[in-house]
Amino acid sequence: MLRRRIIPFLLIDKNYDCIKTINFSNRKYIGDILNNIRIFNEKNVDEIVVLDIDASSNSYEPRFDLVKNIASVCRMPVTYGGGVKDLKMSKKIISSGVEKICLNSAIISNFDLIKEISQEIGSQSLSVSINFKKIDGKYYLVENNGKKIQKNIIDFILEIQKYGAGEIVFNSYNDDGNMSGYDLNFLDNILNYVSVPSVIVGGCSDYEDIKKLFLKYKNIAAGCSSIFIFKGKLKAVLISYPSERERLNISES
Amino acid sequence: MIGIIDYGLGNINAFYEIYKENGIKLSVIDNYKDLKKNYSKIILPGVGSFDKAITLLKSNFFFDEILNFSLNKNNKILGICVGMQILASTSDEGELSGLSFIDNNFDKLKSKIIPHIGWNSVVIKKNHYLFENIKDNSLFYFLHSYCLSKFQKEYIVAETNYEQNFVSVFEKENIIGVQFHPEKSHSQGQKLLLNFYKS
Repeated sequence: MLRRRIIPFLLIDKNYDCIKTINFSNRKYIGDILNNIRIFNEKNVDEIVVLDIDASSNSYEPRFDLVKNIASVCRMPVTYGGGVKDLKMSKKIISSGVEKICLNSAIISNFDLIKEISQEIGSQSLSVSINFKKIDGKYYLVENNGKKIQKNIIDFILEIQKYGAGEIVFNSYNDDGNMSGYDLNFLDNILNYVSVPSVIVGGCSDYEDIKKLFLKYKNIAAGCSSIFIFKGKLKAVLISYPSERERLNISES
Repeated sequence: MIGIIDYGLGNINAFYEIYKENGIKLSVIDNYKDLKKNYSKIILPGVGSFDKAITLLKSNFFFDEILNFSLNKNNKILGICVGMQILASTSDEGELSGLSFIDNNFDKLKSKIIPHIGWNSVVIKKNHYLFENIKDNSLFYFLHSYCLSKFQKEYIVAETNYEQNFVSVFEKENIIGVQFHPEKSHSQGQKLLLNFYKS
């Protein structure tokens, strides 16, 4: 049986620091990226996603040396996103030992790029991230800084799938870092249109949230960051991940 | 000697690190002429599409050299993921002919949700050195859209189910194919790679 995926998300900034955000800002330093990955290694993590959140806004290319270091430290599959703008960069990322690349702002207006990349590296290695934001009860695609993009989310999902995206990451602006639960209402609206594996990230506050997500939907993975990074009310940095026994309880239906 | 073919696709680094941690030197073969050296085992990795992999193997002159290598039945070839798929003659994914060690086609998965991504059980169908000290039904990491669904039973080593059964490991003579990624499958994946080395 295919196991439900529980995926830690780690963010890095322009200073090579590993950070955690709230609503895509309010950054908090949470340690060295490679050390954090080494701790996750010990915990038999399903997969890990590493996103460089400054690359696009600061217009720098992926830092290939860093990506290569991350890939060689990772004992689990890794997805990298941030600053990937063309086929050449995608190939370089994949050949440095990363399983999947994640495209975001690069493809908002360029579906041909998805096609070009997926034909070369295969759909299975191409993930597309969708940032969504709830404004007055309606959902909008947004840029990394939360600015609205005039494009219908469902149309966007259908198009990226048609052009070869092999996975979609739904990243909630409102719920990022707030530990208020996943936005299941959003998923109710869109999951019928999704024909590739998907992940939702933003809002997870405890294992019960993951359990609820898994019970309600069959084909979506749980992306988490705060709950695997912080411990206690004061949010001390402590890396954690559910044990085999805890996982059985989470996936119980 | 064990080597891994570096033809521009696949996670060479992860394999290299795993063997290195276990005190084994995995040679990275990036020139087809080196295949004539003393290798008895080679790994054929792969990330990407069927045609892309074949095209790269041909343009680097590896294609014919791998066929030559296979003629000595004491030599073993382990194809991983797309590296497994190109051991076959054809695939729904591409137009080109593969290495054709097995005269079969890789079919597109039937599930509504494609690709098949994640950790899935590998059901061992016959006793095999690759699975020494690995429990039946262990989880391995899969990342693919095409599969070997119809195959001669005698060559099937393990199967996996993703809304259909498909071959997750086969061995025909000295040719072995593994659909999942052992290099990313925690300790059970490492064991499998070490079992290959020891075989």
